[in-house]
Amino acid sequence: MNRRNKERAFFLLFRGCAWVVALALMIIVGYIVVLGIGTISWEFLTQFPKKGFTEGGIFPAIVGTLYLVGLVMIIAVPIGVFTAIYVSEYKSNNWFGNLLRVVVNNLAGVPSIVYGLLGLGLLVFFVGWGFSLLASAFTLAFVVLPLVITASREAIQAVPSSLREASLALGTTKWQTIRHHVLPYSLPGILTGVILSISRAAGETAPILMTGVVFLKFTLPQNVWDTFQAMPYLLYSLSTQTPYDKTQDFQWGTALVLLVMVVAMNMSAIIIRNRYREKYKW
Amino acid sequence: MVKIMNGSIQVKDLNVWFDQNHALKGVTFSIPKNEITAIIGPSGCGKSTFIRCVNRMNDIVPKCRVEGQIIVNGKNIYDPDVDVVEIRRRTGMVFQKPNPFPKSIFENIAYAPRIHRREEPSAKQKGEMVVKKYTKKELENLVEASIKRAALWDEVKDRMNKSAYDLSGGQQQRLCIARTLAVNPEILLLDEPCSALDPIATAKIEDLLVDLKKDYTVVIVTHNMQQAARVADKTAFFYLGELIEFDKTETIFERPKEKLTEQYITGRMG
Repeated sequence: MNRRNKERAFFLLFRGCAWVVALALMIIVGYIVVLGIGTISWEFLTQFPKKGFTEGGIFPAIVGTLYLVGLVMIIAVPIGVFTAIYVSEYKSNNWFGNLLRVVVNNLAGVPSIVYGLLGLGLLVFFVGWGFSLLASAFTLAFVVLPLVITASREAIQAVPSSLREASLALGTTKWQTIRHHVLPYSLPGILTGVILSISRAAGETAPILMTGVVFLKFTLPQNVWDTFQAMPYLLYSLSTQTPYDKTQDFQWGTALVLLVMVVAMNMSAIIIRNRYREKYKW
Repeated sequence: MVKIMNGSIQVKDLNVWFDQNHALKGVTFSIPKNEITAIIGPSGCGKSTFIRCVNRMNDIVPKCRVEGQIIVNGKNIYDPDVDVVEIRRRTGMVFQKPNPFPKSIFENIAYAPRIHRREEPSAKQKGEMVVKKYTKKELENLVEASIKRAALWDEVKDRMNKSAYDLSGGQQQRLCIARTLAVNPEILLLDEPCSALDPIATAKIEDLLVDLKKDYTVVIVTHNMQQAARVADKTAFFYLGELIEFDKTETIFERPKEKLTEQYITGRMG
């Protein structure tokens, strides 16, 4: 093979791989849209399921997933961002800081079913929260915390130290410098972590399956101690516990709603992120 | 005693270590009030380390240890009861690379005064000071006065809400000086403020510094000996962490007492 053909061959290889990825994505999304779109209706989005998931809708699962994601964010975002601030802005070059770095780096790789078991043993039974929205939310918060911390830490460390020095040299405190400079400038990066963790939290099944989610329930969760329904678990239950030919419309419909919900959440976070990125450039 | 009265900054046996590296060795001298003092010397001689001790900026460097005294207004700023934040408010610093905040020109200046607020004599109790927020008008006046003081007003008055990053390097550096002046410091520290600027921008800053010394004690680190000769009243020559010679600028450049100083200013070393 001469040099030119070799160049060409590698170019085609790279481009080919890119096409495989693009096609795979398009097929997955296209398939779900084509099979699911027929099921989507106002009724499907706003009604409780009827007649063994052949009529009605998935309203409680949508609400359950929204509650869950909201709670996970309320728990994980402050804890994650504050931890990232501690690790990157304060003198944490001690045993505690080092331990924290090791733990965070390795937690991201722990399989989510293990978190599920942790939530079951620790939160549901030991702490005694029972099968509940709260136990599930905390368990999922553990799952997404490493994402939030890692993204926030990288974003915070990307803020040039010259800007911190500029602020400190004007006689402002460390907290004022963090509050007025470090956090606003690193917000786009922090939001990227939040975006990733929203998608992750909305789609996870294993951690909630063991801590609070139920298949069928005819009320919405009344408070955080209540059990709840969620779309990923509904999908799992429908596909394993009901005949496919009867409930396939519901399955594809649920998958589509979940997909659209995650994409919509990501989009809004990306828009906010870009707005901030425009605002603070250096 | 006479020296202590004149000097606005007394440095006594100042030693600095970065981990094992002894960066400043027993530096002792007095920097006079309302004059420009230049710190010169080859790279790595400790000039920046020294200037960053005067507003305790080295505190934020990990593994940095400072011993000795720096006395400002009769008070050692390394005493344990000293409020570091207050020291930095009273000691303005301008850095080597212009570092405006990624905000508007107005916000760059208004940021610190808004945080510090202002002190005024209390109406109720005589002799007491109360801290008050700036009104919008007061803040605008302060921003304008600071920018005027830094000789930048005519260039930016029509675009106060534009990003500071739209300014040229020299303008950014004058904005940083204005930002520092807005908190009304007593001392102005400049760490090679012109090293990233062209000769015209440099000349503007030098003119500004000569004008500012009426109101402030100015300490400038420079690796440009002509600059020291042009603007400084006193010059200190540092070499390998030691203060080799400190005297009137003419003396340093025309009749240096030390051989090392002579070698450096004649370009045979460094």
